[in-house]
Amino acid sequence: MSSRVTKEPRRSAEPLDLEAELPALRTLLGKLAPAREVDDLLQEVVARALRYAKTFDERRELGPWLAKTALNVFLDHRRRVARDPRGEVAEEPVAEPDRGPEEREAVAQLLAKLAPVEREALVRFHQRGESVREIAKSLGLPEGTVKSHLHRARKRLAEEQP
Amino acid sequence: MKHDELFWQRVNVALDERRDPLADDGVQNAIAERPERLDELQRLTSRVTRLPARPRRSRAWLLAAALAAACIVAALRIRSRDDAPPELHALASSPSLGEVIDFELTVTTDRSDERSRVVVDRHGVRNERESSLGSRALSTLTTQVVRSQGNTP
Repeated sequence: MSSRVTKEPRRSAEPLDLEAELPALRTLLGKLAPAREVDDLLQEVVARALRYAKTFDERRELGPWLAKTALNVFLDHRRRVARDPRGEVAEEPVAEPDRGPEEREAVAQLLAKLAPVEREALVRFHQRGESVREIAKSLGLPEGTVKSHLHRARKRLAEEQP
Repeated sequence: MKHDELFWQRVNVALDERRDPLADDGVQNAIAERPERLDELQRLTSRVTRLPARPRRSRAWLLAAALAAACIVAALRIRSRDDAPPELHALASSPSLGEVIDFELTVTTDRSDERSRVVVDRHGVRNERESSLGSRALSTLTTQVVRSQGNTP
C-alpha cells in the first residue's frame, strides 16, 4: 500500500522543543520592542505556542511558526498599549536607537541617489501625505507609474547604505 | 530572490494603502521565514520617517548659479581694478564692448508646490520663494549695456 500525503497536521504527543528557539525569538522581539518588554513578550509567545501546539503541523519548521507567533504577540501587545491611554509605553519608540541628525543626513544622501521622479514621489507620499492619485495627477503620470517609482524608491531606501 | 520580490510587493501594497506592513499576513510569513527581512523593513520605515520636507536641491543647479554669479562679479572687478593686467583691463573697459551699467541673473526653479528664485545683481544674492505649479528650472541673465559715447560715429 502506497503512503499518501495527507493535508491533516500530524499530531504528536511530544511537547514542542521551544528551548532551542528561544534565542532567535528573543532577538526578533528585541528588534520590535524596547528591551524591558522583551521578557514579558517572550513569555507570552511561549504561552501562546503551548496553547496552540496542537495546531502546529510537524512537517513544517518550528522556527518560522514561532516567529510568526511572536510577530502576532507583538502586534497584539502594541494594539493593547495603544488602546490603553495609561499604558506607560504607548509612545515609546521601538528598540532601534534614534541617531537623529546623523540618520537624517544619511537619508538625505540616499535620496540624492534616487531619480528625481522617484524622490518626488517618495517625499510627497510619505512626508506630505499625498495619495498616489494626487501625485499622479500633479505629475501627469498614470497611477501605476507612480506606484512603480514609489516601490523602486522604497526598495533602494531599505537596501542601500549611505 | 522570488520570495524577496513577493515580500517587497506585499510591503509596498500595504504602504500604498497606508497599512502597517507588519500586520500583513504575507509580510509576516516572509519575516518568519527569514527574520533578516524585518531589518530591511525597519530600515525602510525608519528612513521614511526621516525624509526631509523638501528634497535637497541638485548640486548641478547650485553650481551653475554660483558659476554664473562668479563670472559676473569677476568681470566687474577686473574693470574696477587698477592693478589688473593691462590686456584684461583693456578688454573689460574697451569702448567697443560698451559699459555694463547693471545686470541681474535670475535662476528660477519650479517644484510641485513652490517656485524659488535666486537673484544675483550688483547688490548681492537674494533668495525668493513663491507658490507655483509645474516642474522646471529656468535661468535668465539680463544686462543693461550703454555704448561708449566716444565710440559713437
